Amino acid sequence: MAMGVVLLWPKDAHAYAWMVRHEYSACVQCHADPSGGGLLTSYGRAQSETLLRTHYGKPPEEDEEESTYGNFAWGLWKGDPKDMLLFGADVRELYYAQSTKNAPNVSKFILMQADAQAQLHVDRFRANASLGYAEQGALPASLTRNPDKNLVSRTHWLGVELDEDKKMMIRAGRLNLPFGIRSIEHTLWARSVTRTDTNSAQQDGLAFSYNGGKLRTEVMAVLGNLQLRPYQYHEYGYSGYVEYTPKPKLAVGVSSLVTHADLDIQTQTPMWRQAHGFFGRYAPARWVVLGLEQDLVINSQPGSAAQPHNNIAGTVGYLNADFEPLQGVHLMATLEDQQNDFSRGGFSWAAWAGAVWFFLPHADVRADVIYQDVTTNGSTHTGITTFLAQAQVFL
Amino acid sequence: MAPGDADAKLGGSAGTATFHAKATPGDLAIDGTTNEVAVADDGTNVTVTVQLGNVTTGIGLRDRHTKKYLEVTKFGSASLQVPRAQLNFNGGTGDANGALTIHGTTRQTPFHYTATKNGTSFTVKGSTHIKLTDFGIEIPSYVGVTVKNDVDVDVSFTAVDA
Repeated sequence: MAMGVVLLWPKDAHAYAWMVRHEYSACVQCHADPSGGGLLTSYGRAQSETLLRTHYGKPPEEDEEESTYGNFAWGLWKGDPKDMLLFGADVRELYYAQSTKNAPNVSKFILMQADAQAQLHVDRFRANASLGYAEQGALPASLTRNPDKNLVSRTHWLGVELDEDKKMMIRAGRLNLPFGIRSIEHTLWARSVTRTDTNSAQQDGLAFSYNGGKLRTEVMAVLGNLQLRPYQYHEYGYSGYVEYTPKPKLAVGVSSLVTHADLDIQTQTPMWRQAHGFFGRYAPARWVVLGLEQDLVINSQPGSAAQPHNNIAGTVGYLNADFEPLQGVHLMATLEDQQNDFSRGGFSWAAWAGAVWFFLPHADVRADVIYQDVTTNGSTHTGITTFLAQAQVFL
Repeated sequence: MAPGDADAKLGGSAGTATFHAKATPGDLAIDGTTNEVAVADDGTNVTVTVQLGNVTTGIGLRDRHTKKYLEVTKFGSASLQVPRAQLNFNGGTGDANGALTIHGTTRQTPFHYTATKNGTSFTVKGSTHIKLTDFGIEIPSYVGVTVKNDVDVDVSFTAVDA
């Protein structure tokens, strides 16, 4: 479990749900993925430069030329005004130290992410792909078959816009599952338990997305993780969300996921997986954003002769607050909850305290302290304290 | 006070003007607001003037772009001039036509209003719909995000008997 926390640590950059504080409740303007995260559009790069990082000195004059530091490689390439070509690359290094009750302390440096992404956009058609290197983990996204040090492709897809306003798009390929709040903290239990994180939980399938002002949605027919062998591990089903923005800084939504695998990769049994929940984001003031997600999780496996079906229902969720006292400086607090099996009891919780500073164009540093009280077998408590420090640079 | 009463002149400088635009992709909502609203009445026409130099949209860079496309250095204000005869000074709701001037271009524009009489003052809320190109305004576009031609405008103000 100790290593699992780290190996699942954020690898997909640029998924900031707290952008709702700037009335950007939707993600489609800034990201190639219509549901957010990952490769930035030119507009996303401009907003990254304008809104994300700390600025120094006096504000720009009215007629002063706009900064181009947000462009690819700090302006080395100004980009393409029509976004026919998008490029991105991220490198993230992590230091972690973990203390677990009755276990040796662990500390290590890990190259968490080294990915490049690109998109070609011609008329209404898009071709998008990422390619990277994973020193450890990310095995479900691996193209090579080593125990570590693999080439990975987390997402690759073809898409077509269905209307001139680019509200609707159909995509086919390996996609981030549309479910819940898409954020960079993908080790949250809400992400790992539902298997909807942006690290390596992508699946292949067909997705329809709609972004129309106050309403946005994406629904995906899941056809399995084709990078996984053998094929019995492939999951089939659907995943989707609907989000409504009644006010510019308030977004609320629901998610649903149902999949089946002949052989579940974790339990090694046939499995029906379900996750259904609600989520919301709210910025009561520019300097604070509240996020909430709570999901019901039901896993159904074959049982025994005495009990033909083994249905395990539980819940997982979190509540977080992001404070931005100064542009580019974020202080975060998160509470997580998890109960794997209502019938057996055993409640787990976690508390995070973190800070991130976008101190320069294309660069940020982050530190988190996480305490987890994990209950197993209904009654055994294990306390785990983790310290994480990260540095990220993207082109 | 009877409709179109020539003795009931109005004036005031307390109000808010807001435009509501959308941009593709994804119908991004862009709202701009200013509090620099003034009302004048010459006995024939009531004129509402909105100063555009301090319109805010919530993002500094977007404020600059808004003022650039409106060319506020040349056309620093927008105004709506309405014949008093079209207005109901007893309060209530109504529809009228006025000469709307934006970006140096004037067009007869229908609008809807609600007026609430409070003693010697009126609280007025008005709304209209415009197309940017009708007023010679270049369609704003910024690195792939393009504002739609159709924009809603709301103005509210308090006018007092002058």
